[in-house]
Amino acid sequence: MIAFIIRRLLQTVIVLFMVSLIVFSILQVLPGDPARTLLGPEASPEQVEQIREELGLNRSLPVQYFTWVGNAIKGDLGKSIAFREDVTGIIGEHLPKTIYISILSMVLAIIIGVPAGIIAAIKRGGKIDSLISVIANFGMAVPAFWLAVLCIYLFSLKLGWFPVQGYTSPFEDFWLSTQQVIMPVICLAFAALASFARQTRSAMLEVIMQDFTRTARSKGLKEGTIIIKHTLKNAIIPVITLVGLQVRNIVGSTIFIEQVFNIPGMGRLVVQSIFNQDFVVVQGCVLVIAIIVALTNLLIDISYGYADPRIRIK
Amino acid sequence: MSHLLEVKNLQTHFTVDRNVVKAVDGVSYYVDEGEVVAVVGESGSGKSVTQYSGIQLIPTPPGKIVGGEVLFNGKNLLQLSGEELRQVRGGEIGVVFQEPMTSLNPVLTIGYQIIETIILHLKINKKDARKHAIELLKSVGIPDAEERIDYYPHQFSGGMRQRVCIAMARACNPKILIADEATTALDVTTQAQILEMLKDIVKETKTSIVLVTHNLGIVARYADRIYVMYAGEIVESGTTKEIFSSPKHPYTISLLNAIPRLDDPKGRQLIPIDGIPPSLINKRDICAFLPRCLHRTAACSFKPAPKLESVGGNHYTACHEDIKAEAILEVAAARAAVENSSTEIFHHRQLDNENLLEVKNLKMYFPVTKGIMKRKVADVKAVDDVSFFIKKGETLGLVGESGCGKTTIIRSILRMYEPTSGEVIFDGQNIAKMPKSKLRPIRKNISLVFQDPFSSLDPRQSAGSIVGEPLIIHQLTKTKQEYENRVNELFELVGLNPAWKNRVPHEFSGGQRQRIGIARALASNPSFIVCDEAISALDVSIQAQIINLLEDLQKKLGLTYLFVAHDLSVVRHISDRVVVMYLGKIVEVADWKSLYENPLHPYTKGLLAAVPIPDPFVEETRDHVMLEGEIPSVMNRPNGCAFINRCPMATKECSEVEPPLVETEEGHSVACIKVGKEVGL
Repeated sequence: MIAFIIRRLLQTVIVLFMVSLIVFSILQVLPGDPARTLLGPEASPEQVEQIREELGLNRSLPVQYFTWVGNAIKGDLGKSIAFREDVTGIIGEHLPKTIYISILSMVLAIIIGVPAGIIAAIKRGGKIDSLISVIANFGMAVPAFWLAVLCIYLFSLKLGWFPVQGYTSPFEDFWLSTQQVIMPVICLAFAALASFARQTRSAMLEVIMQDFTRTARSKGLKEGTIIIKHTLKNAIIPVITLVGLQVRNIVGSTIFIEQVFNIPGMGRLVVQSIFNQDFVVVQGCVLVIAIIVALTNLLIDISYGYADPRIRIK
Repeated sequence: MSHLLEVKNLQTHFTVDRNVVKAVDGVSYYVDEGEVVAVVGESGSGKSVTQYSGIQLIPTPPGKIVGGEVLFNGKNLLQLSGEELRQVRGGEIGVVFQEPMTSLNPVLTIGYQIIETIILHLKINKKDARKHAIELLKSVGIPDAEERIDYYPHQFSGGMRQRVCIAMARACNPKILIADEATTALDVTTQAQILEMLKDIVKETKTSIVLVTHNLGIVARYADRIYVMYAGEIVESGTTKEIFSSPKHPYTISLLNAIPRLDDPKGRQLIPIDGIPPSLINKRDICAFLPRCLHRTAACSFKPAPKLESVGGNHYTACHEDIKAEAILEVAAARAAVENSSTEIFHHRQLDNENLLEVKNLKMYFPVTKGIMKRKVADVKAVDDVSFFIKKGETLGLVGESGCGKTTIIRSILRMYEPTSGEVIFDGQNIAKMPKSKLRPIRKNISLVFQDPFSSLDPRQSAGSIVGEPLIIHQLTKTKQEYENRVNELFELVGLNPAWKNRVPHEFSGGQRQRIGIARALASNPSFIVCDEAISALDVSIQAQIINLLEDLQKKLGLTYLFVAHDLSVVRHISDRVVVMYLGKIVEVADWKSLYENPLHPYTKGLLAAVPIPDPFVEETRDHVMLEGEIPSVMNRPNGCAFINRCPMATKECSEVEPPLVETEEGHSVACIKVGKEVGL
């Protein structure tokens, strides 16, 4: 198991290295000179040259890359062109908001999606199963941003239950914060929830068909015990895989959702910075998001070992 | 007198695509205390469903018990509430299932799975339950039970898992233990160990055992009484000796004629049961065995299905005709007369002295890697220095327990693996290291027939294109017409109707699919065919058809077979010479007669002793010397002789040198120091 974790860690390092290469090359492939963008069209060539010198843009690419990586490891992701501030600081300000709504969405998706899948599997072919399947299919088909617009129209504008947009830290005003995040969290969670319900349902059905479920029944166990102790423990393994995929999907969807609900998180920062041609910020954001996704996947792979003794004990 | 379990007129139906399948159609039987009752039948005969119906383990829907009574200790199980029924399940009736590999929950420790049952039924605390579980594991022969109780199922071998299942099934001292094909998936030696253990359980605890099986040998060795099932009905019942000495139902008679025995005269022609078991959908009230019956009369077609009637004492049969015991012989004689001429040829067939295949010092090692960098730390010697030859037109049997390297040998001969070293000389050319491009034209001369006719055919390809594919690959036919003709010819050769060419595999029965597999193997007109467990997935009545087909094809086409199987009776029937393997090495080679009649290696002796013979009278007189233990992992090969820790003859000397394969008489070689000394070598 230890060797497995170490090998997996090494793989993650390689992934991160490749991510850093791609992120770094964003700056190189995109049109326009960052120094020129920074200074505006009025600047003289001497000024541009001076800034290039300051930013290190006239050094060779490998040198630039290693300087950038070296600084990134130290926590310095460069200076934003638009905000004239440290990128690390900007990200530090936006990231917690995204993490907060993402974690809430993930938790919501799991605590509703997984039980829904279990119920659908137990009541296979019944009305509840059909209802859950219809909702799940709907959830997978509907884009999050469209759902968001619909929610705002209905719950904010028509019914007035929740504020239209905005974000407040839960530490500042918990009640207001909760009211504000309910809709974005539901919109973010919906697709993931649907996937969890479907995946859990099919995994459960498969496990219920297995010989060992019949063995459990032949021992005279109660149906409830069989589901909780025998079936679920096996069915949860493919669901764990799905958590990894959904982390990526939820983080990706924040780009739309934060835009619609006007939440100053990473997603909105990325969109803004693209419009500002603030590529240093984009670079930093992409790197940070990639690291988060890579690390969660690492955690998930490790957690397989705990869920499945066949991986843990050879 | 009331019985422990009495089933009366049980009817279980399944609804499949709006059709009613009468899986169990009016079955009545009983089980008394301390008895071993066998329920014999082929797949689809309803033998398992009958057993599961009583404790309601059948999936509902689609299954439904529509009638009958299951009286257990006077209570009708079919009328119990869920709670009461759960107390019977696992508490008073335990079940051991067929597949030990999948019958245990992979994510729970075996201890948890046993203790759970004990706490549920015996209502004792966790600590005592654990103690009891350890005792149980010891009683079924799990070494280091105190420690291994916390192991997960995947840390045990198949045989060990089945022991765990037995420990679990008898955890709460049930009155009845149902063993549903409980040893079918196991090696013959492990099978014998498990069955002996079950027999001891019966003796010690007065538990009754219901043996559900298709294996008549097991039945003859262990059962007190037998119920023979066919198409959801019991067609014959009686004591084991009655059934084997004077079978009365044509189906029972045909079954006994269809299976090869370890003590057969070699010339015996197996008499297959023609046709396939009937579909149970919308079953009519007529004798179900009628279309396959050799004793049918015109009157049978007009009468309703026969009922069980006594033919003396407790012996019952369901047949309109009064068939005497001599009938077996008459039928056998009649059939044999027809086949006689060809049988003669088969046995006096002149074998060429030329070797078609010669394997010299073949080694197939797999690296064992360790650590983060996956560096190689050792070799798994799956096949270690193996040499043998096959003459032209000969059938060489290859036997041994699972894990002995049989499959690896096949794969390295066929170059599905790249052999580590050694030579594979096929028709004069060494193909072991030949470049792939040069090997390709030779490939058409070697074919393979696979074990599982269900998974070895592409489900979306038509039967015709499956059979014709080798023709296209090797460009053996020039025109479309020639191709079609050849495919038709191949279909006829294996006894299939060429009009079925456009059907897909699932429209065929298991036996027919295996025929398709054989036709595919024959397509490129090979001289050499490797049969990898080619009949072991088939039902007994179908096995004989395929064995006879293989023998006929050999005669007609002069084929050479390498026949790999674990069923020693079949290997004996079909092989000219036999190779016995143990842990990657050959331990004995001989012609079939010397090997079966005068086995030298203690391992061969143990294997043969473990095979039950379908004849209770013969079984009574046989010594049941069991091979102890299990084949060790190739990773932990013992020093010296690999068989040392299971060998009754082993001494210290055996651990010092690896015994070489030496010829004791012409054509009979054995790798054992002791035997070598005895014959003075």
